[in-house]
Amino acid sequence: MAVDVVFGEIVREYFESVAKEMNTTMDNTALSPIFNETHDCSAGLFFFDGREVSLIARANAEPVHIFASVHSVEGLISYYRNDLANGDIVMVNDPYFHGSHIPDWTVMKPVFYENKPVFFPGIRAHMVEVGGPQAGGYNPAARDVWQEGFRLAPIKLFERGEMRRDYVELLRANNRTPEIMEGDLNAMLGACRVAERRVREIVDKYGFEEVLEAVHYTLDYSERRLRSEISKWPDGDYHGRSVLDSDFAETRDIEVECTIHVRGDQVDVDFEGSHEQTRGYINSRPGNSGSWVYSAFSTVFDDIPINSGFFRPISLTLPEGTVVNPVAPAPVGNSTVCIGNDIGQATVKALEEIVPKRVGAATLDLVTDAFFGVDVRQPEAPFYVSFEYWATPISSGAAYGVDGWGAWSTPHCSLKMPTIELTEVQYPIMYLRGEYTTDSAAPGRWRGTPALQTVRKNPDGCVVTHVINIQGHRHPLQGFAGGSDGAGNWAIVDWQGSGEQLIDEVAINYESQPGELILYQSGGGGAWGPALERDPAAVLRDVLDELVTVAAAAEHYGVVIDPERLVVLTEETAAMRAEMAA
Amino acid sequence: MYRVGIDVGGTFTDYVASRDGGRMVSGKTPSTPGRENVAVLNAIERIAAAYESPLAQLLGETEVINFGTTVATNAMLEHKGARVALLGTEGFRDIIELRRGFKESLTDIRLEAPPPIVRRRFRIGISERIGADGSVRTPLAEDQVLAAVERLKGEGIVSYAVCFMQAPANPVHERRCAEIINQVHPEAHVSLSTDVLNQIGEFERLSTTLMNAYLSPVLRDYMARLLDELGERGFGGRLLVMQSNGGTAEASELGRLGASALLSGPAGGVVAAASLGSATEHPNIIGVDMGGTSYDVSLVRDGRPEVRTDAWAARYRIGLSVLDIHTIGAGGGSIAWLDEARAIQVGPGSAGATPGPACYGRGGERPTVTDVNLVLGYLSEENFIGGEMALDRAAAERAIREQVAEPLGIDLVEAAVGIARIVNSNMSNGIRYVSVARGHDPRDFALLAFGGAAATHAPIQARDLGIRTILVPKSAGVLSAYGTLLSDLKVSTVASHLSLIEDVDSGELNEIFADLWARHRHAVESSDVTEIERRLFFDLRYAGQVHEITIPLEVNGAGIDDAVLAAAVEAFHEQHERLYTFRLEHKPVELMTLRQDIIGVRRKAPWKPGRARGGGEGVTASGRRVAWLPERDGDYAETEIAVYDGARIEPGDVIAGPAVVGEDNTTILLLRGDRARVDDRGTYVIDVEEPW
Repeated sequence: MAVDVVFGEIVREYFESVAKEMNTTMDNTALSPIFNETHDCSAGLFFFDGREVSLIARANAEPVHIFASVHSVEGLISYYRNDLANGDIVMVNDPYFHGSHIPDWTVMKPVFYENKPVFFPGIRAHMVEVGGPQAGGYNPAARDVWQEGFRLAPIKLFERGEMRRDYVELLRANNRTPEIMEGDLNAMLGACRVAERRVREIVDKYGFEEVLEAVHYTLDYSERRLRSEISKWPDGDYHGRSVLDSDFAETRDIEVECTIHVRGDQVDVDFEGSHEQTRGYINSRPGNSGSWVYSAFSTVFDDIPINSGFFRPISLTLPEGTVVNPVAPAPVGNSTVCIGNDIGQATVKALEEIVPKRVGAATLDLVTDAFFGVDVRQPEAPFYVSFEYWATPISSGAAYGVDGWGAWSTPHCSLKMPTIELTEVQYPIMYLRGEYTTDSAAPGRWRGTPALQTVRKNPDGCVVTHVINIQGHRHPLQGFAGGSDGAGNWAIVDWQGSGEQLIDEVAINYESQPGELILYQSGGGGAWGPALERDPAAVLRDVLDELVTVAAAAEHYGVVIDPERLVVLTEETAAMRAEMAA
Repeated sequence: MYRVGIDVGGTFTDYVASRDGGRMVSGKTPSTPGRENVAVLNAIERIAAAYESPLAQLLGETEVINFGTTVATNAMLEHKGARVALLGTEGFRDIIELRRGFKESLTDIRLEAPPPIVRRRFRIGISERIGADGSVRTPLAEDQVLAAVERLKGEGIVSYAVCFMQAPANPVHERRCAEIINQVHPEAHVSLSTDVLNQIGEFERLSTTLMNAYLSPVLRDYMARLLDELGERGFGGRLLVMQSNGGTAEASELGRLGASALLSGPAGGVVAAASLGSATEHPNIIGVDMGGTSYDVSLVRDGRPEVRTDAWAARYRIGLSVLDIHTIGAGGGSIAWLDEARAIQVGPGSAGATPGPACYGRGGERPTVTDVNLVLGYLSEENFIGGEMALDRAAAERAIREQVAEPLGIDLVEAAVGIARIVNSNMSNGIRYVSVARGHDPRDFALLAFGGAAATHAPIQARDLGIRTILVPKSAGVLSAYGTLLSDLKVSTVASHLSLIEDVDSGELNEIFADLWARHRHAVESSDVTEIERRLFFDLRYAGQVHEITIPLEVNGAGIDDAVLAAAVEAFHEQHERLYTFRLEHKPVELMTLRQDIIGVRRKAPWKPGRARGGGEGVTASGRRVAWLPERDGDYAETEIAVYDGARIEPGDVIAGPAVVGEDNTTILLLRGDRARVDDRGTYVIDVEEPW
C-alpha cells in the first residue's frame, strides 16, 4: 500500500529535522569554540527494536562521530539493559567500551514507550579537555589507553530526572577547565532534551505503532537502494591501500590494506593484511574503523539517505590485533584521523577500481596543534587550551569534473573553521597569513585544492606550549585515476628565527616564545585524472589567478604560456604534451 | 494623489494602487524577465486605464511608487553583478573561497565551487594590520593602494570592496583606502566592510561586503533608468524599494547598500501579513506564500516580522538583517516523481508557467501539485485564474497515472493522495522550521495563506500544527504588491561593542546609539512620514558562547540605565531557556552588538474592497461536486462539497466546510468543521475545527 511509503517519507523528514534542531542547540549554547565555532560534534537519533540499535537520522554530522556512535549506543544499551528509566541520561567515552577515543563523549537520553527505551537522541562531542597527563587530550607519548585521559565507562549523569551531582563533581575534578566542560555538557543535555520533546510530539500525533512502522520503512528504504546499486557491480575482489607516515612512536609506513569483496547485492570490506597494532596512539577501535568505511561509501552514493539501513549490505572484516581492531590496552587517541583517514582512503581506492568516476577526495589528514598557556592580557591570567584549526583545514581535492576547492573534503565539511578575528580576541595569538600557496595544488585533469599556509605569532609576554602532530608528510592524500597526490603537510617552528626547525612528525610540549612565528602547511587532497589531459584554458585561468606559475604550467601540465601576454601558445603546447606523453 | 505598489515576480508582475486613500485597483500582468521595466510600465498603464486617466496625468499625480524587485536576487543567481575588486589585508586572500569550510552537501564530492564574485586575480593584498585591540600593528601601505587602484581602473573594475582584518576595532585603514579610491577612480562604487556590516568575524563581513559591491552598481543603474523612464512619462514623485529587512528605502539608498535588496521581492508579502494580522487582532502570524515554484514561510510576532542575521543567499553568506523567510520547493508547479527506490518525491523541480502543470494543456507532461489538486476535486476545471484559463482534467489524470500510479501498482486516487500527503507534510515541516525549531508554539499563531495556491493547502497545515485560525485576504493573489504600500521606511544600523553586561557603561551605549541616530535618521525622513521610531536591541550571549540572541530593549525617555540592562538580561535568560531548555544564571552575560532600527512610519492606504451588499445570509453555493478530503485518521474519503464563487461573496458572509471558494487568483479549501466569515476588509477569517 502506497500510504506506507508516503508516511515513511513524512517520518523520515521529521526525524531529520529533529537531528538538525539538536545540532543548532549544541552550536548555539556550547561554550568551547570547538563546538560553537568549529562544530566538532554531531547529533543523531537512534532507535532500538529490542535486538539491534539503528541510526535513523543525523544532521550536519561529522561521519567519524556519528557512525561510530551507533557502536557506543549499542554499548550503553547492552550495559544498562533493564536498568534504564525515564529521565535517565547516560554517557560513555571509553574506547574499550564501544568508544573511539577518550575526547569523544557520547551522551544520550532514552525515550520510553510502553515501558521500554525505544528512541535515543544522542550527541557525540569532541571535548577539548579530558584530564589525563596531557592538556588538550592528545598525548603522543601514550603507550597505553590509561595515559590518554580520564576513561569513563558508562555512567548515569541523570537518574530519573535528577542530576547525579557526585558524577559531575568527578568529571570536574578530572578536568583542567571544569567551568567550560560543564557548560559544554549542559549544551549536550539541552540538545537531547530538545529532541525528546520533538520525538514525543510526533508519536503523540500519529501513534507509537505507526511511527515504528515508518522507522522500519526508512531503514529498509536505504538498504534497498544501496543493494540495488551494488547489484549493478560485477562480482569480484577489489583492492586499495593507504599508508600512514608513523605512529609518533617510531613505527613508520604503517599500511592499511582493503579488499572489497562484491557478491551480488552485498559487499564485505576486508582489512586482512593491514599492519599489526603499534605502540603509538594510532590504533583504531572497530566503531571508528567502520565509520570511515561507511563514510567512504556515502560519498559514492550521495543521494541515498544515511541511516543504519545503509550499513546493512556492508559487512566488515577487521582482523584482531591489527591497527584496524587493536586489543586492549593499546593507545588509540589519534586514530579518529590518523589511521582512520587511511582506512577511509584505502576503501575509496578499492572503490576506485569499481566506479572510478564516482570517487575523489573524501577523507582528512592531519596537522594538529593542541596548544595551551595562560592569557597574560587578562588580569586573572586564565589558563586556556585550544586547537589550531588553521593548521589543518585543507583536505578537499578533485573529483571527476570538479577541481578541488574550499577547505575540508565533503564528508567532513560540517567542521567549521574558526574566524581569525574572534580567535585573536579569545586567545593571545596574532595571525600574519592564512592563504593558498602557488604551485601547491595537485596537478591533474581536475586539480586538487591548493595547500594553505598559515603563520601565527605570539604576542609580547606570551609563551605557548604546543603538541604538534603531523601526518601526510611523506604519504600525502592520494590522487585518483592518474591524478597527482596532494602537496603534503608540515610545520616550521620559530620560522625565520634562530631556532627554526621543521616538524614533520611530532613535537611534544614545544614551547614557543614571545614574538615567535610558527608556519603550518595543510597540503590539500589529490587530483583526478592525468595532468596532461587538463584543459589548457583551465591552466591559464589558474595562472592568471596566481595559483600556478608559467613555469609550473609547462612542467606539470605541458601547457606553454607566453609570460608577457599571458596567453596559451597552442602549437607549442601540443608539441610539448606530445613529447611529455612519449 | 495616487499611491502605487508593484511586485515584480518570476511569472507575474502584480500591482495595487489607491487614489486619495479611496478606491483601489489591482491586477496582474505578465513579467518580462531581463527587462523588468517593461512589465512595471505595463502595470502602470493598466492602472491608468482602470482609473480612466491618461498615463501622464496619473503619473503626474502619483506621489509615490513602491516596489519589490527581484533585480538583486537575479543578479546573484545569474551571476550578473558588477566587476568587483577586493582590497584586503595581505596574507588573507582566500577567506572568501575557504568559506570557513562550509559546503552545501555532506556527501556530494562533485559539488562545484560557488561562482566567484571576484576572481582571485582581483583580490589584492595590501600591507596593513589592525590588532584585536584596535591598535595599528602595521601601517597602511598607501602606495600599494594607489598602485592597485590605478591598475584595476584600467582593467574594467567598476566597484571596490574593502575589507581589512579587525577593521571593526578600528576602521582608520578602510576609511583612508576609500579616500584614495575616490581620488583615483571617483566614478567607481566603494563598499567598506565597516559601513556594510560593522561586526567582528572576517568571513561573514567579507562575504556581505562583496555582495554589496557586486549588487550596488547594478541597482544604482537600474533605479536611475527606471526613474528616467518614469520621469519621461510625467512622474515626479518618489520611488521607494522594499528591502530585505522588511522596511522600504529611497531608490537612491540601494545604490549604496544594494545587498539590502536581496529579499525585496517576497518582503512585501511579509509586511502585508504583519499589517493584516494586526488589523484582524492576530498580532502573531505565520505567513505562507505559495506560487508556482516555491512555498515561502515567514513568521510575525507581536505585529513584527522575524528577522535573522545568519542567512545564506545564492551560496554567499549575508550578515545583514533579513526577514526570516524559509523557502521550500513546493509550489503549484512542483513536479511529483519516483526515486530509484520508487518512493514518491515532490519538487524541487518545477514545471513553472511554461510548460506548466499537465492540466494547463501547454505541453507539460509531468504531474504537478496543481494536477493533484484538480484530480482530488479542489480546483475547478472552468474557473481557474478568474476564468482566464480552463484546466484539462484528463491530462492531469494521465500524468499522475502514467508516472506515479502505474509504476507503483496503485490506482489514480491513491497516487494523487500520496502526492498530496507528501507535499502537505513538506509544507508543515517548513512551518515547523520557522516556529517550533525557533522556540515558538504554532498554536499561538494564525496562519495567513496567500499567493495563488497556499489557501488550498492551509486547512491541512493548520490541523498538523494545531493552528485554530486561517486568514485568507481577497487580495491574496496580489498581497505582496499591496504590502509595499504598507511598509515603513527603515534603516537597520549596527555597532560592535564587546563587553560583559556587568562592565557596561550605559552612558557610553547611549552615546553610540545617539551617534547612529544622528548619522542615519535622514534616510527615513520624508513627506509622508508621520513619526520616526527607534527600536534598540542588544545581541547577548553567555560569556564563551559565540552565538548571540537578539533582545529588544524596553527604553523610555531616559535611555539605557541599570533597569533597562537588568530587564534585557532577564529577557535573555528566558529566551535562552525557551530555545535551548536551560539557562545559566551564574554565568556572566556578554554584549556583542548594538542594533538600532530607525523607522519612518508612513501614512497607510487601507484595503478598500468593493461595496458591501450587507452579506450575512444571502450567500448560496453555485454548485456541488465530489472531492477527496483528508480525514482525522490520515486517510482520504470521497465527500460531496459545496462550491462558491468568490466574486459573489462579500463582507459579513459566512461559509461552512466542506467547501471550496474560487476567488480570482486563489482557491480556498474548507474542510468539514471549518467555518469562514468574511470581515470588513475582505479577509476570510476561518475558524478551524479541533486539531487532529
